[in-house]
Amino acid sequence: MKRQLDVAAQSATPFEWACPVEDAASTPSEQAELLDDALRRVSEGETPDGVSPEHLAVRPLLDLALAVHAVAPRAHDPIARAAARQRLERLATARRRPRRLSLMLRSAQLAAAVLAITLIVTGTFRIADASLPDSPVYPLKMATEEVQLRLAGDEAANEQLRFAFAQRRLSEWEALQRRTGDADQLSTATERAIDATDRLAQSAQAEMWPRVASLAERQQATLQQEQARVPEKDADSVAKALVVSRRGQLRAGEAMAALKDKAAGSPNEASGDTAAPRETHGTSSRGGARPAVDPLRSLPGRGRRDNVPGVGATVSPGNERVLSQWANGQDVVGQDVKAKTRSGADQPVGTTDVAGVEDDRASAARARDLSRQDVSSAARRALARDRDPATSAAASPTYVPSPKNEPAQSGRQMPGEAAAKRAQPAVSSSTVPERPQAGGRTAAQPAPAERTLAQRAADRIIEAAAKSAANENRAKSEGRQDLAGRGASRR
Amino acid sequence: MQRDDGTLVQRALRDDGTLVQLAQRGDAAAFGDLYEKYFDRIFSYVAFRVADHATAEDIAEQVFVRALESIEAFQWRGVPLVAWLFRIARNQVVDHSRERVRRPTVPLDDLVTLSGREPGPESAYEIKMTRQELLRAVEKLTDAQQQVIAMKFAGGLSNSEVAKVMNKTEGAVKALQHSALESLRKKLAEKLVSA
Repeated sequence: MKRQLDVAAQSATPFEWACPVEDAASTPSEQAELLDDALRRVSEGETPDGVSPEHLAVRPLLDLALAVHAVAPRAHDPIARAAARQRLERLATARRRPRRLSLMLRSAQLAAAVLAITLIVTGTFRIADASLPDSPVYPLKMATEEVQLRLAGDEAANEQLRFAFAQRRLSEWEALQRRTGDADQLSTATERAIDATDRLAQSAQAEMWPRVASLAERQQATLQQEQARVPEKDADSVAKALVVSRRGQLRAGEAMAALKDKAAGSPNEASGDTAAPRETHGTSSRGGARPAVDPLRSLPGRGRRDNVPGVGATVSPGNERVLSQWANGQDVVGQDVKAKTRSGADQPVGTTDVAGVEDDRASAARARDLSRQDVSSAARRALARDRDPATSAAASPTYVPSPKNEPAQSGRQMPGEAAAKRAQPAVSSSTVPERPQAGGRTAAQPAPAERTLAQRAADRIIEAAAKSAANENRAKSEGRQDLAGRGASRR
Repeated sequence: MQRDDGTLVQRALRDDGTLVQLAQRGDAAAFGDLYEKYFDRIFSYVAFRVADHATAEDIAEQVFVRALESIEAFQWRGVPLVAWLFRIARNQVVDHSRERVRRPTVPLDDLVTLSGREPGPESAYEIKMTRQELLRAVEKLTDAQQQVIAMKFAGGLSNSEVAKVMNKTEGAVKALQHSALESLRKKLAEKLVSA
């Protein structure tokens, strides 16, 4: 177009531009179209004089356009242009290298930053995971555990996690105990460990009971070590913790005994003879004047702390005192029990459980009730598996109780002994008609080599309880009988 | 030599899309080809707006430097490469105009060279006066009219390309072209009458 316009421009006379446009009757838009068409024809090779007569109306504007084109500046220095091109190409080459280099550098920096952040985060979480309560990153560990609990898929997974975390609390406590650390930290760790196990014992399903009991046993061993080394002013809290721990352990043992009882008593229940099992239990605690089960079980304010209408979130110190006395083998029958209301006042809620003192059969009945309420379908399936001698033998090795772990028979009954005496009849002496089980055995008279999982676990609990009772008895003889009572009153 | 000629022909035949792709991958020669292809038109447009030859060369070169800096971001979204280059050139001219007073003088040697023909003694005055009056009259047009005149008759853009640069329709460009030339004709006629 430019070349054609150049030729046409040379034919234009300067003063022709000033001539007025002919045919003023046409509209500006029509003239604009005519002008554009004329310019297009000239750019395609026609001369201004050769355009059609209809374009005469815009001829002056066409000549003016050609004149403007003629005076437009043009580059005329090919050397300068070549030099400019070389400069641009050098610039383009120089830009390419640094860009690639800088891209690589930026990628490397980004990768390094991501790696550093990953290492820091991972390292922090690892450090937190292994931290003890006196560590600054310990709160991160607790927060991580909380998140894990919230993300647990179902109740079983949640329970497994809580058991694992309870074990951690105990390990942390033991680690702190080995150190010569801060007494406050140790006390806090103790409470945390006891609380974790206690909560687990309150809500554990049947499959978890043996593990809870084992944890409680380990906990009590640690507590007794701590009791032996702490100064007397701190012994109260240790004694209090012992009470709580033993309570959890006994709860687990009792629940397992109930499970066994249910397994043994189910034929009777099926035949309508619900009273028969009670007659089979002994009256071992009758002469001991001490309840064989937790005397506060049936009172409001016990058990789950947040489900008692009109009663506050904490159990009254009076309750704990009674519990502590009971744990020490003292007579607590008929004592008033109070619970703290939301306003902080102590409110009488009843008396200790006479029935539990009077007759072990009543506690066995309550245990059965408990088992009816708490035993989940999973536990029933586990029980069914245990009844099957083939799967039972394959699932676990034969268990034979060690003679040295048998509870010593003494004039005074201890909690472990009571539990043993309560549990034993349920599994070993039954007068009810035996119903043949799979494999030709009866549930009420299991052979030693075919003891169920629940029975073996119960035996372990009973042994542990008896052992801890004997240890406590020894401690009392050394002049510490009053620690438990004072410790409980502080709580 | 035969090979070089063949290479040159081959390179000259490459369209804008191919050259842009090569330039975006860092091919300096491809960008040099784009420079060769469009420098004249860019320079004419810039020189028409700023008048000073050396300044026009600097600005035109700066247009290609800016294009090189942005070539990786250039995408074919309905705007041809030439329109993209003229947008850069227009912005450069605007920036330059803000910095200094435009067109202090019109050098005489440019007139002789740019007219394409050697003026004789009797026509030198006439051409000189005509060019000066013409450029001064163009300066009195509206900015849009000046843009259209410069892009069409100095830069050699088509109506559609001018429309892309100015974000207008082709009809609007035709109307601007007509109104600019009509206004220019009237201004020149007034000058001639007063003279």
